[in-house]
Amino acid sequence: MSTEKFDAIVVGAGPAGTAAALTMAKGGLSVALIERGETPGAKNVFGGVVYKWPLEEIIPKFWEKAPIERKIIDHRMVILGKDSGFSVSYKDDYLGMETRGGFTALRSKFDPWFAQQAEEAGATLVTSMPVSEVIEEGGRVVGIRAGRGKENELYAQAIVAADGVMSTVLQKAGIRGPPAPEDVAIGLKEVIELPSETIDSRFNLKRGYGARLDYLGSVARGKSGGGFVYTNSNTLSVGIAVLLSHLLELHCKPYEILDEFKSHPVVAPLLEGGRVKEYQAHLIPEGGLQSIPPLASRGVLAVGDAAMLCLYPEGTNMAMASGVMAGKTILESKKAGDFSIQRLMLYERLMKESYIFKEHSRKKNYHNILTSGDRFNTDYPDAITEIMRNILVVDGVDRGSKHAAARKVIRDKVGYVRVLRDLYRDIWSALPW
Amino acid sequence: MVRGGRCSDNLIVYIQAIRRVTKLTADTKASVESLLGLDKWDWERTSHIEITDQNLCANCKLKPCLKVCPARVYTKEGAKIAFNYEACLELRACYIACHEYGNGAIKWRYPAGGKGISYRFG
Repeated sequence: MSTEKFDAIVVGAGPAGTAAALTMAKGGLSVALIERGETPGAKNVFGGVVYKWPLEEIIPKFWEKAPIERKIIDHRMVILGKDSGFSVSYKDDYLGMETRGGFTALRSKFDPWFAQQAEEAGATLVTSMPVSEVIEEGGRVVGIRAGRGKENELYAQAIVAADGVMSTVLQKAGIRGPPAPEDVAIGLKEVIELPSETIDSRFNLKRGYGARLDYLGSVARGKSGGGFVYTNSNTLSVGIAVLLSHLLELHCKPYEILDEFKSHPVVAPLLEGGRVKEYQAHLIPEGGLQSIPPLASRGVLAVGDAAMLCLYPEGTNMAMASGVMAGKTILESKKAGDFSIQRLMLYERLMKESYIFKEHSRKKNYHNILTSGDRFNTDYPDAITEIMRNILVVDGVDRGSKHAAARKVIRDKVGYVRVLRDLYRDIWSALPW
Repeated sequence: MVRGGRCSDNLIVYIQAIRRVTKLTADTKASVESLLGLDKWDWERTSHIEITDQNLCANCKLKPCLKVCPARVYTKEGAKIAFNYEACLELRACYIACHEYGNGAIKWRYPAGGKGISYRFG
């Protein structure tokens, strides 16, 4: 058994952990960045979009060197009916400059590149190293046990738990248990290969620029679920997410929902002729504000998915931002020579003033919609389909009568008061925009 | 490469056979096994999934493991639950569902360093 001591140990070399390690390494701390996969990213799955903030603060002008698939200039939101789609879209070259509108990426390329930046700043990256235990002393976590063949003991002044939604560190330290089935979604994704010229013409894009299509409504047989199609260089990331608790109420397998989404008449033509290259699955934190565990507890700072920081469709940005704040907190502690639990609480204070908490607070009803929102997944999409079909078919009936019929549909399917209440209270918080 | 194990040998042989012959297109309805055939694993010799007591499964009404797994790791064989740990995508939905809705028979650890699924795209 070998024993080593660092200023900080970061468990998990995803966006959150690497951001923390990089921040601390730049500040001159000795940092171990530990990853259970063969390489960073090997175990990771995400929808596909990384945002400019806060990556730019970590790596200035990253867009000149990062493994970017496509810079997103076209944002499309589609409400799916059973056989129809109602879209709102915004396209703007401005969003493509310096990746202002975000960019698509593949984790197998992005994560190793990002971790390499941390290594170059001086962090020690160790891969193929799953954590098996935390080492506790005097009521706080002082190290971890991790194995690669033989067990190693690593000690540090502070531990950053960046080991994802099922965080071993937080569970072993007793800070939180496994997430509740209502607080996680199963995300399934296929990477589908198409020639980049085909993607350009099919999505009406210039070379190097991309579109993101986010689907709401009837994705998961009337249960809360979302779908997406994101354009990469010569692949598409196509996937769905369904709450784990809802999956049990549906009498179907998760991959059947993905199949249905792929064969939906609005989606299928986009994928036609593509070759499936990989099938992926992951749990996505969806619990929102109320599911966030103690952020700084017993010498452990929770970041990224481990801290359940994810708000559809954003996740990687929150992961990185929390990583940076955890890194800064530990840097401050080092400067002051004080790693006490009280001192590390600075992280929680920084987080509570940050974009992440403001967004989580603003979207605090989001989780309600997810768990109880059948009308968002059936009633509204059905009403939209009925109204649009009636209005768009020119058949000699005047628009005045059709508008009256439309009002009747709204009144019968959901009711005016309910629409207003939903709009005011829930819909704004559910929209990805 | 056929590893020792229970019902798993068939699956590995199957996955490898699929790798040789299939080129999956996005429009064909693919079986989950053929989708899994596209992924890359480095299998451990021993399973990282364990069912502690088959009696718990036999008495489990809901059997949520059968429903939630996107890789169809779990199958029903008579009253027993069989599993192919090789196909595991390591999301642990089975563990959450089993302990929340089932009888808590599933024991789960991460595969040893670098083992298990390795996404080539991610």
